[in-house]
Formats: sequence, structure tokens, C-alpha cells
Amino acid sequence: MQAPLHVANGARIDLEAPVEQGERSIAQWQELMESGAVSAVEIVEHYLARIDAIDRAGPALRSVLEVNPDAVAIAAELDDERLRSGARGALHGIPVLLKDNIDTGDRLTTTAGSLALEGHRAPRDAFLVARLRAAGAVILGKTNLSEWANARSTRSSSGWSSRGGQTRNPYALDRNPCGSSSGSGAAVAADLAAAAVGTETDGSIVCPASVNGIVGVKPTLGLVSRDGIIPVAASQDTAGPMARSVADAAILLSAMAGSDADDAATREADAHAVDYRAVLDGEALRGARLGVVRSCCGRHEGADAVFERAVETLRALGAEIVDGIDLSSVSAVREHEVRVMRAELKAGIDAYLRERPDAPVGSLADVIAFNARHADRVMPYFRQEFLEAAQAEAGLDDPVYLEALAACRRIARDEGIDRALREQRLDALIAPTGTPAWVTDPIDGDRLLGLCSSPAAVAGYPHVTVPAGFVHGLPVGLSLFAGPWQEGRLLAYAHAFEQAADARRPPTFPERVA
Amino acid sequence: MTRDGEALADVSGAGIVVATQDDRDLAFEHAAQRVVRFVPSPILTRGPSSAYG
Repeated sequence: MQAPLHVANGARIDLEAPVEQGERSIAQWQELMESGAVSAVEIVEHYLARIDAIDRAGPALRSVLEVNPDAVAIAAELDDERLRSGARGALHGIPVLLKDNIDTGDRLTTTAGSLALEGHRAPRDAFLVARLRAAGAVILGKTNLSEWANARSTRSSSGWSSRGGQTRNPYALDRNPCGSSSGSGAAVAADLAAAAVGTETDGSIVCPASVNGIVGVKPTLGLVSRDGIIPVAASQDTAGPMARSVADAAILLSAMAGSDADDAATREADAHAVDYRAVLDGEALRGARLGVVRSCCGRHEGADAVFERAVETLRALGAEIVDGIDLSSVSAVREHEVRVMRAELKAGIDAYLRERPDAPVGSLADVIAFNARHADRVMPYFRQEFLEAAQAEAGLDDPVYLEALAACRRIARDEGIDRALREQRLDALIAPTGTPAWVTDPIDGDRLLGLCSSPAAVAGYPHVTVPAGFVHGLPVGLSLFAGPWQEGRLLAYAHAFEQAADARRPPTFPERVA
Repeated sequence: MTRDGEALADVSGAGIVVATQDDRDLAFEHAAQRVVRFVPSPILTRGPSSAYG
């Protein structure tokens, strides 16, 4: 264990102290670096020591798959640059973790948690990673995930991968971190980095954010480039920030968002992206019309109670609450969504691997064959029936696929979120993000009682979750979602709620719920 | 196991402990209803275990 760090106000950050005494926001780290009290190298070493102490040993969260062997050297270069010419911005020298399905053109590997891709080094950074590096972020490492972003089996355990094993929830170690951005969620909650990046097709940012008590932002499809991300379903895939505060998430999103010539979906991103930290406003909820999505309630009375208190907080902050919004019709989208996912998964994985000839497997068929050959290590708990179903798909010009995609858009957008917003003249919709973390069971798989991710996920619209409270010590989040490109509005609302509710509490790593 | 020692744990798949022939008939009846009501959806229409992507 390294020596404690000196900080500006004379206090010391004791690496062996409880986690809540060491947490710093991105702005606080920046202030400490600007004052010369702490260097980026020291911050990186601080987080690497925490990963050793909390992720490898101690509670053994298993949230981080690998750390960047060059992180300290990169931080040293950024420290020199700060001295020479000043900081690039809010992310200069800030350590950030990436989900292991995001390409980095460095010595880190990119594997989606799969042994089939063990050792795979991407040829270059994903577009969003290049933007983070350009903003001065230090890529600290890769986080564990539900293998293949949970696109392998219908009976998987979220947060389990054949490379990384089972990630644990820091609020109760026998419970699940949800997924598929499991490691990003658990690592941020446990203060193993300043922030992290996750990805979502349906729920994979907001669910792990909610059950790990952090902020998660699932952006509008096309605000953040999909370039260099191992795909699941291109029509819904997006990366997004996961952080301990709305302000930190806003800083990360500001750096990640933008148009990429290699991703046609991002054509409008530059026109819509803003400095999301600048729009945060403690008074933002005054006069906002928020619709309560009742069809997302009723899955767990504890989560419902936290949500009702959150609604009262929103009302006290000046929001006009419109109750009784019913999005239950969106549940009809599931069959179409799965059909779309299957077709896009095959096309996407094949294309991703085709463009990376150095990868150890070259197609989805190769992945399936590898898994079958190494079933003892890859499939000890659940198999790969979803990959196999995807492999049987006809292709993206199949009329069945095209009809399913059209149905998704119609149900989730026209007849779902768009209609609710228009008919009730709403600024945003609110709901409990989901139910508390379940006990991890690799044999029977996940037991998620409820999650309100599909409407925004299938529509491709933004969704922000912010900590709202606890059920038996387990965090649950408040969800806010709206029409496309409304990230700024949602972040402003979430920030105002966060400041008033002050609901986040750092984890204490109990073995189980008391 | 039933009272007469017969192993019938999987007779219904409905979680019904059967002890008599009447119970067994009832269990099958329930099982038949479950098959109708809860026929497992094929992989092609089932999604991943929980959140994904």
C-alpha cells in the first residue's frame, strides 16, 4: 500500500480509510491538480491501489478485468503538459475505466469478457475513446461485463464472464451488479476510478447504475459514436457515462458526444451536443411537467416507496407531476426487439470481427465453435443458445427483420414515448429505474423483478438514472427519459433532484443484506 | 416423495406434492393447464436474461 496523498486543505487521503472518506468528484480532483497538491500520477496510483485492495483482495468485487500498464506513464505526460501549457479541460489527468467491449488501440485487450477473444488487441481506439484521450482522460483499464454484453444466453447471470468470473455488488457481495455494464457500475460505486463508460442496448447502463447506486446516462442513439464497440444491436446500441454524480457524468458525456464520419447515426450529433455540465441548474425542475409512468411501478413495494418519495421531492422542487402515464403497450415490443437483436447481432459481430483480422476468431460462427470446444471453461453455468439463434438469422434485408424494426420504432416512439409526451404536454417521463439487486445465482440465472429501460432503449431516446434511495440497504434509482437529444434537459432535472435528495451513500461491502 | 414412497417430484412440474391417485390426477390436470398457459417460449422469441448490450 502506498503512502497517503497530501491534499490542498491539509487533509490526507488514506488509502486504507473507508471509501466515503476518499471519494473525490472530477471537479475536486481537477482543483487539487490545479493547485499542485496532487498530480495525475498520484491519482492514478491511488485508484490502482484501490483496485488492488478492493477488487482483487478484500471484498474482491472482480469489476476490473485488466489495468492499463501505461496508465502511470500517460498520467506523467499529462502532468508535464499541465505544467507546460495548462490543462486541456475538465478531464485532464482524470482516470476513467472502460467496459471491455470498447476498443482501445493500446496494450489493453478488448474481449467482451469472452475467452474466444482472449488476447485480442484492437487496432485503434474507438471513436469515443479517442475523444476521451483528446480531452485528457487517462484510460485506467477495462471492466468486466455480462459476457458478450449478455447476448449469449437466455439464462445467464449478469456480470459473469468466462474471462472475469462473477462481478459482485458492493452493497451486498452476494448480490448481483446487474449488467451488462456490471464492472463499470460496481467499480464506480466502489470508487475504483473517477468514472467509467458503459454501453446499453436495453438496460445495460441504467440497470447496473441503479443497483450500484450511481448515475447512468443512456444517450440518444447517435449522440455517441458506435465505432469500435463490439455490437449487440446497432439500432439500439450506445455507449454512455456512469459516474458518482450527475456533474461527473455530464463532463464525461460532453467529451464523448459528437459526430463521427464512420458512424452515420451520429450525423446530427454535433448539432445537438452541448457542454452538459454548463446546463446543470439546481432550479431546473421549477415548472417542469413530468409524467409518472405508472406501468413501470408495482414490481417491488420497496422500490415503489422510494419512487413515491422521489416524486414528492420533484414536486417540492417545483415540478408539475402528471400521474397515470401508461406505457404498458411498449411491452408488446419485446418480441420484435428480440427479433431485431438476433439479426443485428449476427451482422454486427461478423462485421466487427471481419474488420479485425488479427482477432483469434473471425465470425460469430467461429465464436460459437470456440465456445463449444471449450465448454468446460466458457459454459459451466449457462450456454450460448442466443448466439446460436442469431447465427441462424437470414440477414438485414430479410423482410421479417425489417418489419420487426419498423414495429419497434412505431411502438416505442410513435405509440409510446412520443404520444405520452405530446398528449400530456410533458417535458419528461419519470419511473423507478428498476428493482433492488437480486442474489446472484449462476445456475438459475438472473432474477430481475422489474426494469423500466425498454421504452427509451427501443426508441433510441435518452434515459438518465440517478440514485433515489435504498431498499434494505440496496440502491434503487429514479429514471428520467424524454424525446431525442434531450440529454441536457434530463441531466439538469437529475442534477436538481440529486442536490435535493442527496440519496447516494458509498458502499460498505457487506457480505449480504443485514 | 409421496407418502407411499413413490418418487413423483417431476410428475406435474407444477410444484404440487401428490400423495394419492386423486392428487396425482389433479396434478396432471394442473400440469396440463400450465402447459397451455406457460408453454416456454422458443429461443427465437425469448430475450436475454435481463438487461443487455
